[in-house]
Amino acid sequence: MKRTEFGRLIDTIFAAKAGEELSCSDYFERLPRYAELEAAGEDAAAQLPDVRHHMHQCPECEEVYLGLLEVVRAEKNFDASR
Amino acid sequence: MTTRTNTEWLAALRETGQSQEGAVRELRQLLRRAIFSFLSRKGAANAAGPGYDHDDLAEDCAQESLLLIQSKLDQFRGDSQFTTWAYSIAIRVTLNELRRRRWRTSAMEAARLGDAMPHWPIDNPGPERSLEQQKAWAILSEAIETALTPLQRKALIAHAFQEMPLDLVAEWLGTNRNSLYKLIHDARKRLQAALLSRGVTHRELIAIFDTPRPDRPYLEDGKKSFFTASND
Repeated sequence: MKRTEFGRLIDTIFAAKAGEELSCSDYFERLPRYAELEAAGEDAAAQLPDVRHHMHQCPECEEVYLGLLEVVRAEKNFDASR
Repeated sequence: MTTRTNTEWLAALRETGQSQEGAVRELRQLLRRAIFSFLSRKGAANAAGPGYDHDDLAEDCAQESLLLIQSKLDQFRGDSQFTTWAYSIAIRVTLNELRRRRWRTSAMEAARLGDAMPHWPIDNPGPERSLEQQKAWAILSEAIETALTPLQRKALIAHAFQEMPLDLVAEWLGTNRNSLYKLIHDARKRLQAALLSRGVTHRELIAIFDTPRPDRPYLEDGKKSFFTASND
């Protein structure tokens, strides 16, 4: 385990909310909107805080977000260049 | 390539005949291009392990994504571009495949899965591994051993310390990813309570193992360090 991963594990322990959290499925339903807001330069975390919280707690889900954001930005650039 | 609205995508993919074939072909091309571009990144290439071909993997993942998308059309919420939703499925499928490949090549013995706590969790501890760090790790590992249910401990160790992908942990434990997330969430809450009851705060634990970063949004105000205090 890398030091950053260990730090992340500690973060997630202390960030666990008392009630229910968004499930991975619910997260994936909302993720496309979140990525588009982010790519448009809007504050996606403020608009969809549950999505932001889930990706903090679930590094695998965050990895999907980072890949998706890259794709959305690349598509935007591709469309702009046509 | 045409530009379709969300409604046009959904209608074309639900139709039969040439209209559907055209939409499927176009979507497959978009997915393949996105996946190939994603795989071309250095990080993803390293994660895939030796002996894999970008083209083949992009083709396989695009095909699998396409089937999933067609089976999930009713789940599209319409609050994003249809293509963004489709890309999210494609990236998820691709990362799952990369994680499965990486896990297959790891040397974890089945007998140790979910059971063995690491003696020291961090790679290359180096000479800076201090008494304070060892004490903090002892408290955290003791909390993992005593505060969690056997199933929570098994899931957390396999995923967090033995790096088994979540979907595979879920399969292994005979559950699904949502239930597993809930299980691990409950485990985190128990650990949080156990650590706080021992007077250990987030801030001091992070400070002992790492330098606090401004992008950590959940740091609470620290009290006097449990570790320093008990060492006085």
